[in-house]
Amino acid sequence: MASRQAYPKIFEVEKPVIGYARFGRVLKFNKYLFMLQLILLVVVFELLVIFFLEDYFKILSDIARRILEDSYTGSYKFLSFKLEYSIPQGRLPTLQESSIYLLVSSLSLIFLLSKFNRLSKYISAWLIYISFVYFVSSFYFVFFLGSFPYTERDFAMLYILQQTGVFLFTPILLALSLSLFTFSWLNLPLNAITIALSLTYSSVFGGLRYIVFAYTLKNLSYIHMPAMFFLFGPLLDFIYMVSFYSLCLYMTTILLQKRREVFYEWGY
Amino acid sequence: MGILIFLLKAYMVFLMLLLFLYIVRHYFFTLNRAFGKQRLYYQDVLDEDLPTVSVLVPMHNEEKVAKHILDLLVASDYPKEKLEIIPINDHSTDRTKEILEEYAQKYPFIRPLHRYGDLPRGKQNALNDALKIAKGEVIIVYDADYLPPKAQIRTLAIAFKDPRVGAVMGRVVPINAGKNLLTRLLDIERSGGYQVDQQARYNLNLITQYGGTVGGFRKSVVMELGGFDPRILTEDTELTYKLYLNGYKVAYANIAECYEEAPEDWNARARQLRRWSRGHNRVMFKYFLPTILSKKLSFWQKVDGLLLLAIYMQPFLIFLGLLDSLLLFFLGEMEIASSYLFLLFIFAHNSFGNFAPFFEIGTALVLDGAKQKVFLLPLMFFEFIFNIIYTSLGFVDAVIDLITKRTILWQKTERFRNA
Repeated sequence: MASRQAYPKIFEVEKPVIGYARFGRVLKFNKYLFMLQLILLVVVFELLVIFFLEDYFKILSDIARRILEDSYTGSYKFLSFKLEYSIPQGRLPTLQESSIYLLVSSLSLIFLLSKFNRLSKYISAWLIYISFVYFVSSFYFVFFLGSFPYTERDFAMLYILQQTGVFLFTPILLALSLSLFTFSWLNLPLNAITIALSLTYSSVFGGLRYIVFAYTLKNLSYIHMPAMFFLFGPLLDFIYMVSFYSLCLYMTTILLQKRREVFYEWGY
Repeated sequence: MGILIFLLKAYMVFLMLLLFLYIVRHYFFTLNRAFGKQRLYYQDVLDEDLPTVSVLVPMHNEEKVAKHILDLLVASDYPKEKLEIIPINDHSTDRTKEILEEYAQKYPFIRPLHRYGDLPRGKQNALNDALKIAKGEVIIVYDADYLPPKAQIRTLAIAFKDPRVGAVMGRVVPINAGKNLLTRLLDIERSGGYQVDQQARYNLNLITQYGGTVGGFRKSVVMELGGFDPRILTEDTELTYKLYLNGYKVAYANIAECYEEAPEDWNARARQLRRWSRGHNRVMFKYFLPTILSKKLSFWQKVDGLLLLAIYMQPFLIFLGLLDSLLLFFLGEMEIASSYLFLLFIFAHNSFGNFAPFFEIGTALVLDGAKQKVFLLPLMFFEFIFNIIYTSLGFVDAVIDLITKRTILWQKTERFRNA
C-alpha cells in the first residue's frame, strides 16, 4: 500500500514543470473587469479633462502673457467651453527670407534624393519629410504671400483645437489598449497611472510647445506654421503616449514573469 | 475652387474611415489572440504514413549561408526515404554552385537544380522550374538564410493530412534581433505579425497568409492552378489568394518557429520593403475583383481578404493624405482640417511598424513573455516616414508594371552573416 502511494508522489516530483509555451498561450481574461476598467478609465479621465479644460487654457494664457511681450488675450468658444489664449502678433516672412528657405529646402531635397546622400535611410526619410514641408511652405510664401489665410489668432485657435483633441483622445486610446490586461488587481491602478502620466506630460509639453510656437511666429515668421502642425504636432504627442504605454507594458510583463502560470493559460 | 476643396475634404473623410476600419480590425485580432479560443494546429496528429516531401531552397549567391541551411536540413528527423532537398541555384556567380555539388555528392537526397543562361531569374521562376522535377507530394520552401529546427518539416507536412489544406505557414523569428536598431524593430514587428495577426486570422477562419518561406504547399494543387505568375514578385501572397479562391485554406503553425536573418542595413530593408510592396500591390490588382466576386469565400473572408490586399497600398494613401492636408492648410481650410490633424495621430497609430498598431505588437510581446523589448515600441517612430516612402514607391512600381507590362527583375535581399 505504501509503495502504491509513493509512486504517484515520486512521479509528481520528477514530472517536469510544463510551462505554457508561447505558441499556444493566452492571457487570463475577465470580461467584466475589462468592461469595468474600460468604462472607468475613459469616464474618469474624460471627466477630468472636461473639468480642467478651461482652467488649463486660462493658466497657459496667463503664463504666455507673462513670457511673451505685446501679446493680447482672447477666447475661443469650443462647444460650451470658453477657452482663453494669449498670443503676440505674428510676422509674415519677407520675400528674401522665403526665397532663402525655398533655396535651402530645394537643395536639401535634391541632396537627400541624390546618390551622394550617405545618411541612413530612416534619417534621410525624416529629413526628406521636413524639407518637403518647408519647401511647400516657402514656395507658398514666395508666390502667394498676400493670400496667406491665417492670423496669430487663427493659430491660437487651431492650437487649442489640436491640444483639446489630444487631451480627449489620449484616455480613449490608452484605455482601449491597456484594459486588455485583467489578471491582477494591480492592472487598474497601473493603467490609471499610465493615462494620468500621459495627460500630465501632455499638459506640460503642450503648454511649452505653445509658447515656443507663439514665440517663433512673433520673432521668426509664419513660414514655420505648417511645420508646427505637420512635424511637431500630433505626431510628437503620439510618441510620448506610446512611450508611457510601453512603460506600463513593461510593468505588466514584470508581473507576468513573477507568476506566469497564474496569468497565462492554454488557448485550446 | 469649391469643388477642389470638397474633393480634398472628401478624400480625408474616406481615408479616416479606411484607417479606422484597419484599427478596428487590428483591435479585434488582438482581443481574439490574447483571450479567445485558439484554433488547434495539426501538431498532435500522429501518423506514420507521412507524405513525401520536397524541400525547395531558392538561392542566388548564397555562399555565406548555404552550408548552414543544408546542414540543418540534413539533420532533419523526417524519414529520408520520403524526403528530397532541392537547392535551386539561380544564376549564382559566387561559390554557391560548388557548395551545392559538394553536398549532393555526400547526400543522395540532395538534388540541386542549377539555373543559368536564358532562364529568367527570380524566386517565382526558380520555383516553377523546381516544381517540374520535384517528386514530393508536399513542397516545403525555405529561403536560404533560414535555420530550420530538426522536427520542423514533419510539423509543417502533417497539416496536409487535412485535404482542405492547400498551404501551411510557420512563424518567422529573426536570429540577429540584437544586432542593431533595425533588426530589433523588425523582431518586434514579426512578433505582432505572427503571434497575433496570423494566429488570429487562423483562429477566425479568415485569410491566413502563406509567407513563401517556413511553409509549404500541396504540389498537385499548385500545378493544377498553373504554378506561379512570373510577373509577380510576391509569389506567396499570390498563392494565398489562388488557394482561397479555389476553396482551399492556409493553415498556420505558430509552433513551427524558424530563425531567419533580418536585414541589418536600412538600404537592404528599403529594397525589401519596396519589392514586397510592388509584388503585393500587383496581387491586389489581379485579385481584388475575384475576391469580391468569389463564391468560395465567406463574407468576413472577403472583408479580411480585401483589407489584406490593400495593406501595402495604405502607406501610399497616407502619403496622399499628407499632401491633401498640406493643400487644405494653405487653402485656408485649416479650421476644418485641424480636426483632420488627428488624422496625423491616426496615421502614426496605424503606420508604426509594419502597418500594425502599437497595441497589437505590444500584446504580442506580452504573449511572448518579452520584457525589455516593449521599450522599443516608441522607437518604431523612426520607421514611420521610411515605411511610407518605400512602400509608396513599391506601389508606384506596381502601377507602372501594370501599365507598361515591363519585365520584372528580382532583387535579392543582402545577407549579413559571416560564412
